[in-house]
Amino acid sequence: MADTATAEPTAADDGRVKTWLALGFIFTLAWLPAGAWDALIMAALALWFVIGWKRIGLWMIWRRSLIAWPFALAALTLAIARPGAPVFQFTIGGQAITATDAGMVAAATVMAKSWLSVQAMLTLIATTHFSELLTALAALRLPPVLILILGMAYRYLFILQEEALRMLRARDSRSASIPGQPAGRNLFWRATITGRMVGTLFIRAYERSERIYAAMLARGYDGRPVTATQPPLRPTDYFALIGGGIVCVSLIVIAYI
Amino acid sequence: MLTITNLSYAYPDGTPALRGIDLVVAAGEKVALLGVNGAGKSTLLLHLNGTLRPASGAIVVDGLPVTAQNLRQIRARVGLVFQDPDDQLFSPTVFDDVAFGPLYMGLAPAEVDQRVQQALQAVGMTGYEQRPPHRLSLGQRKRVALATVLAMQPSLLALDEPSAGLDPRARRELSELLRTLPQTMLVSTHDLALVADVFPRSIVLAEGRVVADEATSSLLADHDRLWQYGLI
Ligand SMILES: Nc1ncnc2c1ncn2[C@@H]1O[C@H](COP(=O)(O)OP(=O)(O)OP(=O)(O)O)[C@@H](O)[C@H]1O
Ligand SMILES: [Mg+2]
Repeated sequence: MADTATAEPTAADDGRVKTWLALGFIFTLAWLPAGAWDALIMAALALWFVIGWKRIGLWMIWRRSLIAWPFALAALTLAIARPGAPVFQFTIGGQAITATDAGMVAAATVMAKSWLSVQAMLTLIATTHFSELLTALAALRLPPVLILILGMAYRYLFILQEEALRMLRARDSRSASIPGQPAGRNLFWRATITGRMVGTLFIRAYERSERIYAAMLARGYDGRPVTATQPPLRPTDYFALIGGGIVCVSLIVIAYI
Repeated sequence: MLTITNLSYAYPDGTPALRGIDLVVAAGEKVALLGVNGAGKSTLLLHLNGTLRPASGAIVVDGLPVTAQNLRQIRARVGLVFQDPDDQLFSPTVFDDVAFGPLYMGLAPAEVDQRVQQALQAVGMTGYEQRPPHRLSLGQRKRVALATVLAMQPSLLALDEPSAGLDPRARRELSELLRTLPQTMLVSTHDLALVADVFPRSIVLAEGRVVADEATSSLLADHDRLWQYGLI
C-alpha cells in the first residue's frame, strides 16, 4: 500500500518538516481569493518544482490526483449558485438554470485549489512514512487520542490487506481444474464464495488485531502513544521551513495586492 | 513424477532462498525435506504448485511444466498444505473449506459430500463440519488444512511441517495416515520420528541448497552429519 509508494530520494528529509510544509501550502491555497490566477499559477509551479526536484514523478502524482474529480463536480454547482452577470443558460426538466460570471470564476478557483491540494497531499504521502506523519501531527500538538486512533486505523488497514492477500492465495492454491470438467462451477457460486470470504476476512482481521492489541498490553503498553524522542531539527530543516513559509506568504501577498 | 532443475529463487526484498535445486522424485515415492529454520523448505514447497514463480530453473509435475498457463491443472495434481494453517483456510466453516477444492473442480455434490467426510475422517476431525476454522486450536487447524487438500485427491502431496503443533496421538495418527496414502509426497518436517516412520528417502536443505539426498536409514544412522546439519 503506502509502502510501495514511498519514494526513497526524500527519505532524508524530516517527516515533520514535510508535513508542516504540505499543511501550510494547503492552508495558503485555502486563503487565496476567487480569481487569484497569478497566485494559483505560481503555487502550482512551486509545487511542481518541488515534485520535480525531489524526483517524485509529476506524472504519477497527476494520475493519482484523479481521485479529486468528485470535488470538481461539487465545485461545478458553484457556477450556477453564485449571483452575478449571466453568462449562459440551459434548462433541465423545465427549470431554467443560469451560470453567472462570478459563479464560474468561483467554480474554477475551487477546482484549481482542490486539485493542487490533493497533489500536495499525494506528494507528502508518496515521500513520508505513515509513522512520520503521526510524529509530525503529534509535534503539532494534535490530541494524543486522535493520533492513537489514526495509528490504529492504519495498522488495522494493513492487517486487513494482509489477511485478504493470504485468503486469496489460499483460494487460488486450491482452484484446480481436472480434464473433462468445467472448473469454477458458475459465476453465482464463485460470487457466493467471495462474499463469504469478505465476511470471514473482517472477523479474522478483527480477531488478529485484538491479539496484537493483547500482545501490546502484555508488553506494558498503557494507551499512551509510544514514540521515541524526536531528534532536533537540523539547519537544512529550518531552511526548508523558512523557504516554504516565504513562498506561502508571497502567494498570499500576490493574491491580495 | 516431479522433476526440479536448477531452481533458484530470491524473495522480493532480495533475500536469496533457493540456490540451484536439482531434484527428481519418482511416482509413489515418499520424501522427507529436512533442514534448519530458514533453510528454504517452505520456499521450495511453495514452488511446487506455482504459488511462487522461480527466478530461474524449471519444475515439471507429471510431464506438465509449472507455468502460468498450466496453473489450474497443476493445482489439481499438487496438493500444497501451507505451514501456517491460517494461510490455508479461508471459509466460514470447516465443511465449506474442505468442500471448496472438489466443488471448484466441478464434482457432483454427492461426491463432494463423500470426499469431505472421508478427508475429515482421515485427519480425525469428523464432527467439526460447522465450526469456523479460525476458531479452532492450532493442531485442529493443521488437521483441517490437510483435509482440504486430501479431499482434492491430488497425485502429489506437498506438506509443510504437517506434524508441528499436533499432540502425540495426532502425530501417531498422521504418521499412520501418511504411510497408508498412495500419493507421492514431499514433506518438510523437523520431526525425525515421523521421518523414520514414513519416509524411505530424505533430502536435507541448507541455505537454499541440497546438501544431502539419500536413504533415510543411512542419514539417521550418521550422528555426526545429523549434528552438522542441525537436525539433532
Ligand atoms: N516473505 C519473505 N520475504 C523475504 N524473505 C523471506 C520470506 N519468507 C522467507 N524468507 C527467507 O527465505 C529463507 C527461507 O525461508 P523458508 O521459509 O523457506 O525456510 P524454512 O526452511 O521453511 O524454515 P522453517 O523451518 O522455519 O519453516 C529464509 O532466509 C527466510 O528468512
Ligand atoms: Mg517453513
